[in-house]
Amino acid sequence: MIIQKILIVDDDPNIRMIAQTSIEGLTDWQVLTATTGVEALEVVASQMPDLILLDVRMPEMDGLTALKHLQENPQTTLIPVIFITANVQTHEIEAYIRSGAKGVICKPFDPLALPDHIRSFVQ
Amino acid sequence: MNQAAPATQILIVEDSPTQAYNLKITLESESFQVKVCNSGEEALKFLAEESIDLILTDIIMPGISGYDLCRAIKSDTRIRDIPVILLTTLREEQDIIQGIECGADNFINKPYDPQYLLARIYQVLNVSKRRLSKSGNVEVELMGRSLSVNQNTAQVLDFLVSSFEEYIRSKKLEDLPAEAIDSTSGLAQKAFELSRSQSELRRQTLILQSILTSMVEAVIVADERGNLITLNKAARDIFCNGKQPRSINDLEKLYQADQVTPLPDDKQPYNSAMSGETMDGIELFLPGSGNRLDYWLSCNVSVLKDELGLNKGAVIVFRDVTARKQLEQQVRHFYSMITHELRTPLTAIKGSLRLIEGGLAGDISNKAKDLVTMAVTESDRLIALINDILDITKIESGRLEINVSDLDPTELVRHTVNNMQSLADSASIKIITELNTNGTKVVGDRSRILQVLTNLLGNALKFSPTNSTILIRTLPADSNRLRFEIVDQGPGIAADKLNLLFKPFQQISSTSSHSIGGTGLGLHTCQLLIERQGGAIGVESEIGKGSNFWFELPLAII
Repeated sequence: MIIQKILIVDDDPNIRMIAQTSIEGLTDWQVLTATTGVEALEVVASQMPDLILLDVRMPEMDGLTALKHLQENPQTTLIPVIFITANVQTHEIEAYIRSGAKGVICKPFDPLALPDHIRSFVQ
Repeated sequence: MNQAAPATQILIVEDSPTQAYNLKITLESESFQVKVCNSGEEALKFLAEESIDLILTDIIMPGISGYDLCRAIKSDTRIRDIPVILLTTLREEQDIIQGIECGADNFINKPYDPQYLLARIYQVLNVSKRRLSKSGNVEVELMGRSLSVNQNTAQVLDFLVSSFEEYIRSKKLEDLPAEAIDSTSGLAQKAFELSRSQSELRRQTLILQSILTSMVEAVIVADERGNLITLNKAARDIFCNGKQPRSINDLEKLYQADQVTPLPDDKQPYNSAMSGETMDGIELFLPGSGNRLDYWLSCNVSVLKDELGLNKGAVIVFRDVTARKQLEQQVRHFYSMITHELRTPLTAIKGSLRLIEGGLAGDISNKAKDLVTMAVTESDRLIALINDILDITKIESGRLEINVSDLDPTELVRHTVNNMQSLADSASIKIITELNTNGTKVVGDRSRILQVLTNLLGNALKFSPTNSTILIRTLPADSNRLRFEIVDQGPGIAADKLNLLFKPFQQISSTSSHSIGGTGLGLHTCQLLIERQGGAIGVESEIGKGSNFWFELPLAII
């Protein structure tokens, strides 16, 4: 698939900045950001990104709930979602995949390898 | 020998509770109604208010003696007709004289045969009915002494006849053939043993009660209808909660380990026991209520059977494991804390450093680049340390997830080598493999075996000199196991250090003083992981001859 617009969702500004710097420096994708699940749904509705990098633990609405909302909406149900999480136990990762995510990236991640990591899940 | 009318009332006056109890049991077995007074004074008070058909009294008691008691009874017109039997060891003439003088109707030697005692009682009861209450002075001679006794003649006669009878009995015993004596003394011995076994039973009951009271485990015993027979102190502390339960159904229901699902009725401990199931220390939850806090209880049950093997109830034993459960929750909390609170800042630190190192934050000097590279390496080490600690915490608390499947050893080794090839190339180290597995597979958790292989190969790369070779090979360990070996041409390890290698934080530098990066937990983690998968791990090494780190895993059954 061709990625033109990617949405990065994380409540931690440091993580957002690292992921954004990596993607903007290494790809020509347009980067959108959001800090909570609720804000992510708003950005998705108005900007329709090609792919979403979604944190799991966030205030207001967590990543799993946000994914559920996206899946329930016919307009957003096909947007691939990749979780980015500090929950690294096998059963947690398996649960995220079962929930419908295309992939899971564990923190800490290597920002220099991030674009390739994302591509590996959607190509 | 149930000759007595059920209403016949007998008063026992005896200061020894044990003797009084034994006597009471004997009399009650004949349907007598029995009262017990522990002293002569108490007996007199009792007799002033209650009517009694016969009195059995001990002689030597604190306060007034049996003689004095008898004397007081016989001088009281309201009660003088009640027959009194002295329980004594009448042996001396003085005893007989005192017995006659105090007006006793009969006497029985201690220790007595229960049947003989009962016969005497019936005899006295019968005699007292027909005896005329006629008194007057009687002159008697005993052992050369003349006695004037102001008592009922018939009473004196009865008393003397009974003492004569005692004499004949003792005489007969002396004259009897040996086997007859054996049989008589056997009977006495039996009575004595019965009395002994009764007191032993009471002693055992007291011991059992003390044990139950002092136990930290809660013990509940209920009969086959669910009526509670025993709740020891620990059980009352947990279950009573200010109430007085009578039935097993009055006790609160237990919950499953998820703390929200009630245990089904047929799985509650009492019902499990009654249906013959065991619980084997299953841990159940009892939610707090009223003043009581939450409890975690480890439960064991067994069924009470009678001599025919029928279920007559259940014994339930609970061990309070609340403290351990709470500690486990704290460990889980600690785990969660490490996962998030350390991973998140490390993601920012390592991420920033990598972005600078990769030039995405603009150009920097070569010196700065070296420093950043060093910082990246060290942050990687910190991440590895956290991962190792997490693994060890999980393994040691039994929470490590192991997903076993049949695995191709060749693929495992190739995958590891591929991942580390660039590291080997940059250090100019050659990795060669000898994998002759003939299609055999091993059983284990793929990601955990890869973790061990990566760790061992990483160690070999760290300690190998430039232009050396590392050999990875597989070979049969025995008919059930496959052995993986990682053989390096590094400096080797001294024999006295080998046993330290797999202990936590025991990283050793074999030849030089420089520190080689590592967490000091890697080999310990490898050992725990391999052993958790039913395998073994070890090392063979010699200074100057390199090292051979090996591990073995069970072969898959084809």
